[in-house]
Amino acid sequence: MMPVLAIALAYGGFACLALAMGRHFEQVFGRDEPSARQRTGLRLGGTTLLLLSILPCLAYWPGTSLALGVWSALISLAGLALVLLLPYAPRWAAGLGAAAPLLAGVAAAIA
Amino acid sequence: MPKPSSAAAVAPDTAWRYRLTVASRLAAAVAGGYLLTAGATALLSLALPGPRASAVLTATMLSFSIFTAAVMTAFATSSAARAWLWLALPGALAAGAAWWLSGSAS
Amino acid sequence: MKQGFRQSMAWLHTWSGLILCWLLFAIFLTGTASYFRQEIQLWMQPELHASRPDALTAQRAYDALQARAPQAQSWNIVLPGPRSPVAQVSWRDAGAPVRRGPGNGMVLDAGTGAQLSPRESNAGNFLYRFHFELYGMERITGRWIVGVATVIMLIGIITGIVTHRRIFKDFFTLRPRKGHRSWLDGHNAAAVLALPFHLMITYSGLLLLMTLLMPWGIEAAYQGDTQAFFSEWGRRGGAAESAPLAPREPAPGATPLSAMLAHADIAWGPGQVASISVTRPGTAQAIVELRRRGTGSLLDRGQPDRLRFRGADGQTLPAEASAEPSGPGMVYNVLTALHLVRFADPVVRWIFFLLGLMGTFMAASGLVLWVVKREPDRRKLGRTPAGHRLVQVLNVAAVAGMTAAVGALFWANRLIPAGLPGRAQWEIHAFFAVWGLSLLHAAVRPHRAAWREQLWLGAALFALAPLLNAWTGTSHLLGALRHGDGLLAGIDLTLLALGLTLAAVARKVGLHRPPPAPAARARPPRAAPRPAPGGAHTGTATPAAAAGRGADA
Repeated sequence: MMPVLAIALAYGGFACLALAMGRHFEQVFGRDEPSARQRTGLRLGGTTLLLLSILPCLAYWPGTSLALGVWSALISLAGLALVLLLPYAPRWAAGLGAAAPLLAGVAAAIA
Repeated sequence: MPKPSSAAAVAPDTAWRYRLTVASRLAAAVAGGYLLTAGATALLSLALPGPRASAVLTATMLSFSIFTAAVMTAFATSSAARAWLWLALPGALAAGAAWWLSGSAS
Repeated sequence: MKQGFRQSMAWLHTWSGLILCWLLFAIFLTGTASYFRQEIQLWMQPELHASRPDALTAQRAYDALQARAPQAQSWNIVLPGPRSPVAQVSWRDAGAPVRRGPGNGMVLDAGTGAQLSPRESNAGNFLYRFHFELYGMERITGRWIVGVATVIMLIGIITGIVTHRRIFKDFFTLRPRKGHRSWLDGHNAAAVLALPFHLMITYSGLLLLMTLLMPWGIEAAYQGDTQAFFSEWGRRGGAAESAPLAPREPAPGATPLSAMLAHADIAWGPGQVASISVTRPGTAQAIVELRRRGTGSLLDRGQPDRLRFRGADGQTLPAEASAEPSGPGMVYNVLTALHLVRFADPVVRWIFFLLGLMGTFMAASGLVLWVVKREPDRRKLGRTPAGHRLVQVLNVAAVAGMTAAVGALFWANRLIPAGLPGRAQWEIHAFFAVWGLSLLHAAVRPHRAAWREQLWLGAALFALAPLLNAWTGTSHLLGALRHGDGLLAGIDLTLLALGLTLAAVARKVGLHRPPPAPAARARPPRAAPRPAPGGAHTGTATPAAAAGRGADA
């Protein structure tokens, strides 16, 4: 469960960071640029989610060095998923960015 | 760099000079770079403080970064001659220093 | 060079990438496959597939060793686990020197303890060795070639970072169906998204070869005495024989192995014992060591936890004190452990496998990009220059051909008779035969057709492998799924998934229609012969960098 949570958080983080860019904001929402406040909020939220994704890794893998090594690999996979989804299904890509961390968080809390 | 395939006709000897320059930089990068890296690794292995094995380990692990920097330098200088200057000279110095140090240590 | 730093780095990036990219693709492909080396070896020995481990497996293995090698100096038992359904036992005879390499061994059915005779197959190990030693040449030579390729890869990475002007802006950008733009985006995505992985795998690969590539530190500080360096470093080096053996005394009664295993179950949880070793078995000085599944901290190269017992009565012994690694030693251990991914749990292994596939795609897309990017030049010229044609042919053989050759290994494994002497070598011959044929095929077929056909071949070889397994093996996918046998089912499903992926790519290549060529203009024949533009092309990764290059002084 922890690896799933980690990748879900990382995906959400990258999705926020992507939306903070005009190019991808437009891909998803159709309008042009996010406002300055939206941009700051998205960047902050995205970075936070990315950093949060370290925690499930630390919980699941013994040894900090292994956990961090796997974390950097895991976020690459999360980023890959986003990059593949954005051009083909931008709304889904963004929606997943919100849904995945929530669902995974709830599932982890229950389990 | 001039592209010989583009519209303006390029005299043959300029194309050859270009290739010679590239070859020269490449030689500087590979030979000069390796000399510099080997010399620096040897020098650091002898000069770094702490246990001998740690110094050698640190120096050897760093060597690949040194070589990468050297190769990039060879292609970033303003001329091929400078590439040789920047690499071969410090390389010889480092190698010489290492040889002298190891000679006095044993 | 008079033009900017970024432009010269871009030039260096393209050429350093292209020159050895064919080799780099092979290194990535075999390296990625090597993450599942054990699983590949298992698939290739169907005689082992019926083995079903249970709680008594360890005792059966122990008893088998008792019967087979009671006088041995040491025993080793590798228990079944998530990567293997059989027990592997080995022993070292008294008097044999302690050194790396196989002693005597046998493979046991975990459920019955009977010895199994799997067919001789070395395909997984072949791919693993190929990864860093290539094949058919002196080991040192192969390692040097791979080492040089890795250094060039490192230079490619660093110059790629410097070159990529909009590395953050383009981070998530993928524009499909836009010709060479799409390939550039794909190459960049595979490269940049997995950048920590690529940096780690490249640098750690160099570290693993460092005593070969850069021995001058040892030369200077140890006058070339590598053994002294290793022993001062604290690594297991060459032959290290411990204190002389005391005369053997027979032990009173049987060793309570089950008690020791129960102890491990309490300490580590059930089913966590990966291997057992016994030194001086059957004597009063016997020592039993249990090793835990999985990885500990990477700082110590991922050494697993251990429990040690006195063999005669099951009394626990303190753990052997291992030296605390030095600072640089820890750095080395972490990086190389991440590269090798030994002792890792399946999740970690899968994550790195997927990243390895990304890296393989990065190499492949770089090669394709080189060709696709020059399409306008070829169209302007009206033909394909010799240099371009060479790159095209080599691209197909290096990428699609080698992939098909890997798939062919699985088919060779089942089609070559199990009892044939030297069959392991024949499997490898089959690999090279398919690879060589792919080169010929690529040379005679038009470029796009060559890609399509070879990709379809690879797709078929991989996707139909589970059927081959069912037809020629002792278990098959549906049966494995029904039994809950995750390992064998997983291998078949992975092969199927790889085959389907290749099929999807092959289909895309087949459907692609190149944009219509502009109306041909009559061109006056040139008076003087000119060098083929393909040979003199510098080629750049970013089109913007191609502009404004001044002549070199």
